[in-house]
Amino acid sequence: MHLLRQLRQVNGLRSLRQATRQVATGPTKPATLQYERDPQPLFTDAETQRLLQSMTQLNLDRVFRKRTVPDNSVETKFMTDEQLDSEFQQMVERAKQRLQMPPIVTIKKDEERIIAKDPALKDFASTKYVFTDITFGLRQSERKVVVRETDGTLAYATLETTKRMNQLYFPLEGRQSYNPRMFLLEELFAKCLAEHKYEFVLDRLLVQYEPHEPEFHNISARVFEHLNESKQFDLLRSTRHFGPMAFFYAWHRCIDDLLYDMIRRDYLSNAVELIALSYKIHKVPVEYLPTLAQLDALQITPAQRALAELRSVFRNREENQGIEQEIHTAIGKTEQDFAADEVSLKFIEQYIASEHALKKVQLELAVQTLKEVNREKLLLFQGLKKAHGVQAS
Amino acid sequence: MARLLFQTLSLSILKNDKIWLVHPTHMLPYTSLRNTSFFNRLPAEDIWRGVTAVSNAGKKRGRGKGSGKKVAKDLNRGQTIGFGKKSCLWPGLNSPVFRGNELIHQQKTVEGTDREYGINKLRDSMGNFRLMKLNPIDRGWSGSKMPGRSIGPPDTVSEEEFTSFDTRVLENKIVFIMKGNMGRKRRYSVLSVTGNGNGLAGFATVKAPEVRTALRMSKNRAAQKLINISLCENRTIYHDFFTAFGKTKIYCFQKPDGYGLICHRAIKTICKVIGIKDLHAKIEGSTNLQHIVKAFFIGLMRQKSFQNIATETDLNIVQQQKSKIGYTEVKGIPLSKPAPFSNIQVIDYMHYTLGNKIVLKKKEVSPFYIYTKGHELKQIKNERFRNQINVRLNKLVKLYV
Amino acid sequence: MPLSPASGIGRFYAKSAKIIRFVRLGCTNRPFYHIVVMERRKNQHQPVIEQVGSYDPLPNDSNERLVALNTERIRHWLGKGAHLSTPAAELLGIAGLLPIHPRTYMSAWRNRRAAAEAEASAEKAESNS
Repeated sequence: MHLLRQLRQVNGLRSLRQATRQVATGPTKPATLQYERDPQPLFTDAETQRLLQSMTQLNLDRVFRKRTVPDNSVETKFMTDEQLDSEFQQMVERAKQRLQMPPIVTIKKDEERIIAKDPALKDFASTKYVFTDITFGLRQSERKVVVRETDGTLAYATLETTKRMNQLYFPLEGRQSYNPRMFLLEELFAKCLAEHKYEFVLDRLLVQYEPHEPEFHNISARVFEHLNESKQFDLLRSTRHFGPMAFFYAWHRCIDDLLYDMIRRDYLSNAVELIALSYKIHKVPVEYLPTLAQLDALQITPAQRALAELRSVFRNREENQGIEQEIHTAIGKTEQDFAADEVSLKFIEQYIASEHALKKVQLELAVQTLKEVNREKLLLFQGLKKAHGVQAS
Repeated sequence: MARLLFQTLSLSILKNDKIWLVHPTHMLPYTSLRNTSFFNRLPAEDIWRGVTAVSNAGKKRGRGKGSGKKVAKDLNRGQTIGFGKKSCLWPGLNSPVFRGNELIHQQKTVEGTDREYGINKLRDSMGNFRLMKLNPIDRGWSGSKMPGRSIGPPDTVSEEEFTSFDTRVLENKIVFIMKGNMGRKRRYSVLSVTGNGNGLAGFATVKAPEVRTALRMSKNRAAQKLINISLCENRTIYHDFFTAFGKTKIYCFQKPDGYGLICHRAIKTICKVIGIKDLHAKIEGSTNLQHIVKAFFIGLMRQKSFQNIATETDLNIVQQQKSKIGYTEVKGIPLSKPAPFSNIQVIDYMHYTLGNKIVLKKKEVSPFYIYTKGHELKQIKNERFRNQINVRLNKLVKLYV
Repeated sequence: MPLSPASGIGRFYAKSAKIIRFVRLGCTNRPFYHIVVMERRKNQHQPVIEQVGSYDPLPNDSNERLVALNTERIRHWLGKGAHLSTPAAELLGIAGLLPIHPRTYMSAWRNRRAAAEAEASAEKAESNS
């Protein structure tokens, strides 16, 4: 009864709503930057993926942060050390799975694929028929949807119809059969961006649209553009959207703001990887592979780092955890880290000096500040070591 | 009955002068004078009835009829107001009244409308049934009864103030004991719990002849018996536990944030006073209030910290929150590393904390009608409307888009 | 247990005649059909052997009539010698799964003729006025 009443109320408002709908003609206004050629081969390349994963980092607290779920119960268990260790490994695997990046592919165009033409069937019905194959166990991409037009033509359905039918007969959780208002009305979308709800927008975008749809490209590009202006890159770190974002900036030659952010936060190896990615995409004749190899030798991957952090609970038990370890935890850096910093700083300075850097002054300043902080840290580190009589290895 | 008779007798002994005078040692220096008797206390009708009436049994036998019948005399006949045994002038009654030189006649004055209204209001206020008006927030478990109600913080004891404390009454009942000289002696027993909402709480039972005294005393005694209860994350218990006192058995379960208190009203009140916000408890056996309170407090005090459990069992304790999908938090780690190849048997955490006890799950009894023909027909009828609500909702949503 | 599920609880003999046909569901003035396999001799509201599709004869918002077909199972039953009711055969013909049913051609031809006649009469009325 209540629902009926609401329906009647809404009917009253209908004319008003139609007016607003006419104002918003399409899904939000187009972004300025678009992929002009197919980015898929470069993006799915193993090396690119490795760089992007490294840049994303892996902060377990961030990946497994508290979410709103219907059942928020807690399960407490006993575990032996072996079980706990394997649980840690599985956890890192799960985190990696959650950080899988959505693919960047080119926009798919509709093409007409006619199966049969039968002029004798003209006007056999007043409307067209849409046939969906609901055979069990097919993937959405494999499912055939065909349309018999009123003029007797039998053809494969358009992408839009196919998606609609798939959603009708095999609904995806979270995806709506209509365009969400958030993506439809410019003012709502702008509000989302202004409140820095980037992850929310991108997550919903991923559920609602396929990566090959123009809406997906348009909206994600707009989010990344807005992000480049607001410079809140840290909001996307340790989420699955950081990789596509970095790739987007590298592709469109606007990495400088992200680079500045990375240097300021002392993520120097990430900065090197970003520069290397941009060199790779634009085929700049600079040798970046040796530097990356050097860094790889000195540093561990984010997943390994996360696992080591988890395993540190075992180490705390052993009382003589070593003075060297203590110094490392106090300073936050090891000897290898200092060496890696040196290598990366050299590479970054090289980039700043080249003609590819657009915001030279800003970057130089950041590098100088970081250098000073690092030097002080190194002095302290060496002093502490000497005081405790630890041999430099 | 005998008791009542005894009381009235003792009263009459106290009041009756003649009996007093029997004791020469207690002789009074004056003769007492009594101005009341049933002659001037009772109306004439009642006094006459004493002389003329015949008992029910007598009536049945036909007494009080015929020639020998005593008749009441109307003693007011022949008397005029204002003229009596003593001849006296009563101005206004049997002689005129003067104001100055003027004789006052009967005349109407200006009528006051307020008077009647005031009287009616006064009469209404004396109404026969008075409702206890209580703010809904101050109400206890049931109506204006004491159990569940707050009676404020305990009184200050030598500059030790109990601000931030709150006391709640759990039980308020009348108890009797037998006394040698008084017989059944009635007292009020009050069980109350006091706490600061942050893990400090105490309870006490007190008996007193007056309710108010009992309340005050139990409140203050509870404040002298405070127990410190450490809370997990400042909102719940550390782990599930089983606790019992007498025939009362309580199973308490730790619950996530926002679950609330799903338990017996007494446990709920205690939890509010202690500061526990999320808890599920199931009572098996007796629901004697005193026992519930004692069992619950014992259970709370017997809780172990994660670290203690880990040390005891030589096993790690981990927590997996469903809201942090797949994240495993380490809560306790045994201090010593277990010897390699030691064959530790991993036990179920809940079994361990509940002491291998489980809550009795009663078999659900299905309602009587589910096997009837009518119910089956109704289900068949309703089958086609099973998705109607969702369809309408979607329609509604689509209108907005 | 109110209604028989679409997954089929209908009992059938191995050698009995099966048919692929419509079952009218929905309500008054709002037809909706299940495309099912059942024993030929049974009435449409008895339990079915299997549901193999659905057909909504009323056009939707974008003026389409929606049909869902489990082609794998339909081919299986046709291979086993299941019969087809005429409406079902027409629908499968339109879908391109079977040759077009003659009745579809007939209705197309009749529709075209009716349209032409209507047009002619409209023209006639126009020229007269």
